[in-house]
Amino acid sequence: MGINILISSGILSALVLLQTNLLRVISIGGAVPDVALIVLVFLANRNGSMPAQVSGFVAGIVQDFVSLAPLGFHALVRTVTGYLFGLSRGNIFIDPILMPVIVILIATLLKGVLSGLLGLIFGISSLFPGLFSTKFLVEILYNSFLAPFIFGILGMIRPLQLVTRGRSVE
Amino acid sequence: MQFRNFTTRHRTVLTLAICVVFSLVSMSFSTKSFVLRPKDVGLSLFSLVQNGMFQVGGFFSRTVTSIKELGDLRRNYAILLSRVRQYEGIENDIVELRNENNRLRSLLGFSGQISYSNIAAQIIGKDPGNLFSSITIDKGSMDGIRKNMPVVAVQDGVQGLVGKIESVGLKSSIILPLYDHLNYVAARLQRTRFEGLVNGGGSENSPIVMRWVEKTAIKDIQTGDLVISSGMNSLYPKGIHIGTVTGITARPSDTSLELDIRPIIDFGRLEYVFVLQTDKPIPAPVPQGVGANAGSNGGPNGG
Repeated sequence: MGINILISSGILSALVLLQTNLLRVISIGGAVPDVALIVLVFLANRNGSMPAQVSGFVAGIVQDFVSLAPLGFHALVRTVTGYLFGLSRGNIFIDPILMPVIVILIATLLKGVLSGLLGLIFGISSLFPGLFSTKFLVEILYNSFLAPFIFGILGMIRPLQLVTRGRSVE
Repeated sequence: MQFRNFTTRHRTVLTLAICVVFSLVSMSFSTKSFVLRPKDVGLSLFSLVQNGMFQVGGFFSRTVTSIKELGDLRRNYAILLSRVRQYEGIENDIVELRNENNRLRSLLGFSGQISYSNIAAQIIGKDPGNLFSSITIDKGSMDGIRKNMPVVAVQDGVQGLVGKIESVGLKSSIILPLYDHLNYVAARLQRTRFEGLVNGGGSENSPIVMRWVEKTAIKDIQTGDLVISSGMNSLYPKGIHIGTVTGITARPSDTSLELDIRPIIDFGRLEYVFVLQTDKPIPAPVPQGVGANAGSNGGPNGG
């Protein structure tokens, strides 16, 4: 499982770094899609909570390093997201279109709620204008739109399906 | 034995707890002013990868575009060759005019130009999410960059304020941009000299706002008026262009005006910036001399 967590962490961290430059090319109205979140949710649903929360934590830390968010902010958001969506493993059947849209819609909203809570607890006032902006609304819709495509592509990548070789990691 | 059983059974929850506790402790450190900043260490490490990705992406896009550019270059070469000959004659006139301009400036006591050493830097990334706003540049503490240094850029021949350095790694730094909600700049209207405080709107696309402008100024202020830094706080030197007035709001209940400002700098197409070393002012040029030695690492506009 260790090597798979390492691979997942590497993929998610690379996506986070790509979101700082190359993926900005496909931004709509300044809103960059959170591809790392979509991939995290996919991996969580496939592999369960343990690998998802650890790789989510690693990717979150990387995101904290390259942004102005306090260290630990994105790490916490992505860890909790990985854990919660990992619980859906074996319980939710992901069809090609509708479920990816719904799951990612919920995941992005959860990100917003968790960010808001952390903002309130730690007094991070700078994130609230972004949270209540049309940019975040665009991100929710954009992530949901991209979800079926990304889930479809990831579903075809065999190593990602064999992360736990059918064993439960709980 | 029991402890081992417990940890094995609750491995997932324990890992979650460790990650959450680590995140919370890190946030407690990051949101306070601790001397030890693990964030800066991480920025130094990951910006290397980030820079690498930027360079690789840039290489591919440059290769593709360079093929198309080759044809354009040949065409432009012929046009430019004829223009160069034309400009050679004009150059002599410009040297003469520049000297005259220097003389007139000194006569008028004009000192509005920013005269600080600067460090040219390239933008290698922006915030990966949509909740925070930051710009990452490829210069860090090894290049002489320190926290809170003001950052400017030259676009369409105009020098404008970009923001200030917020976080510094070894070979990269993060800028808190002008449009960030946390960025405050003491400013004044260039024409009417009324003062106010400019604050970011939170995102690249939302306008920045100038608050606390005297209400009596409403008769004098017009849309299109230029807003510059006033130099009232020690962070930003005075005279840097910030933006132009696009809207004036005067609420009956308020004692001051609120002005919508469109930044001079178009952040969407920003590539290079100049970090000002405000502790290293450049002496004013000698009036009669030729000494306008404005270089990329020392001149007022930085080339």
